Amino acid sequence: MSLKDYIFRLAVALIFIFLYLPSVVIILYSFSITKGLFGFPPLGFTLKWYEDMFRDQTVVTALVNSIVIAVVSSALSVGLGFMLAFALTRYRVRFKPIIESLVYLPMLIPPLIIGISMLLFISRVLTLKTGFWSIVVGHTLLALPLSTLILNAGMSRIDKTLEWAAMDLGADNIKTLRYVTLPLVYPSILSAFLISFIISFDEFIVTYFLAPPGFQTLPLWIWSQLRFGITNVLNAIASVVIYIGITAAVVSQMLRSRYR
Amino acid sequence: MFISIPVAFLVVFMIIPSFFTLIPYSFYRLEGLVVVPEFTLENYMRFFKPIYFSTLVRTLGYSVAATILSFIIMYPLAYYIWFKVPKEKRDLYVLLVIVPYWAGFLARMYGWIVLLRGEGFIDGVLSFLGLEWLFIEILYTPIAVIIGFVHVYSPLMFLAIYSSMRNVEKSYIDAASDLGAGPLKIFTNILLPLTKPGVIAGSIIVFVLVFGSFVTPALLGGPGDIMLGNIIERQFKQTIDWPFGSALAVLMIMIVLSILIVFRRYLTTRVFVI
Repeated sequence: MSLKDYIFRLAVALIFIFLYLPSVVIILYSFSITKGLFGFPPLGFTLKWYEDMFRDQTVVTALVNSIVIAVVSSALSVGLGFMLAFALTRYRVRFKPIIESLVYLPMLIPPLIIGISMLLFISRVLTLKTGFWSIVVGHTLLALPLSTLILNAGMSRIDKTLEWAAMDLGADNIKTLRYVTLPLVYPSILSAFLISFIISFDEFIVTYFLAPPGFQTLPLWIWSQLRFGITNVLNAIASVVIYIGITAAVVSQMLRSRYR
Repeated sequence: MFISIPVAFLVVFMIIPSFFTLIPYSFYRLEGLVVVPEFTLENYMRFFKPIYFSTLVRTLGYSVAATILSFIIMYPLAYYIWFKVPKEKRDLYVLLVIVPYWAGFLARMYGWIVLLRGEGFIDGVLSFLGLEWLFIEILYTPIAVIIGFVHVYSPLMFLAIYSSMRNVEKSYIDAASDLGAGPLKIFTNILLPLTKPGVIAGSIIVFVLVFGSFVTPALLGGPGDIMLGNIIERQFKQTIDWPFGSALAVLMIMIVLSILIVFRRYLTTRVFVI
């Protein structure tokens, strides 16, 4: 290897350090006993902060809220994404380009805009109070583009002749869907669910505008800590968010690539 | 039919709120604390005050800086993974680049606070090495804000560039090199033209996402480093001047949408799924 190659490798290593350092530091501190909040170096090993986390009633409530919202909104975004992907890959859809740009828009429109316009619409036009369901709808909207993309890729990959064979043999549309299409795209469905879950679980901005006073999710709790005073428990909680995010992303990716 | 349910969902919860609620609201008048549905252009006029205008300029500056920096670090990385990493390990490397993107948005912001704060982790490492004179004082400055943005959004730049890089064959580069082209010439005459769609798509994505942000400057920047998003957020959360906030938001959507429409042919879905 030439010197040039070594320099290139070093640069790549530095980029990976840049990408991982913030998460690694948080995880290190979540296990360490240090003087003050962030003494250097992070020393010792303790699970105290994780135990404290589960003893703190506000945190547990926030965690439960986050999980429930994430499960419901992921189910919705996978369901809607499935309908979209199914129609877009199986039928000739009118206004296809318009529908596609509509579907992928929530990924590129600032979430701030989605948050405030939903707040305006729900509280001033529908004159309802925002809360659990509006947050679920907001998260479904944000997750829909990626879940549709994943399902779309999965659906266009399966062998359509299998579906035709089922129909030739007398299965109706529903039966074909239930016994042929669904089992074949099952990995994509799971993959889309995991990505939607993590989008919702980690979502802060839309929740911030739609959450009624007193309603907590994990990101809202982290935000209030970051704005109004950090405690050691935050390290454990931020680490939990990191573990869940990374696991969901890795499993989701593996589900997709194994069946490529 | 099947497709009408999701389309109806998008229209009711995205199109109606953002276009048919936000836009009318931006023309309403605020009297005391009450919103009066009477037509006024006042909210848009207020934007031309120097403080708001300079914030728009700063917002554009952050977006451009984060886009360029993301390109500078992610282009060589995409090149490295596609040309230098053995075929069977490429997917693993790609996964390693995307994984941090999912490692918690606020958690990453928090990570940077811990790293960059005075006597924080980086200062700790430096003083451990006896390099106190290198102490960094960049938390709550625009530099920290830009670092945060690059960290959050550069994996998306990577995905876009990599999706284009996959179309470039090693033989093109070898041929050029055999014919005497230097690295710079190979980059400008072969690599860049072939990967242009990915570079443009990645740049648009990073630019647009940074442009609409407010959390990163709120956490990593100082009071003077705020963006358009922070002013909008304040109108809805603190000042409760919703019509003015709506006017600024309409301005933001218009800028974002015009960029997306101009460059729409580069924003293929291929960019996002590897």
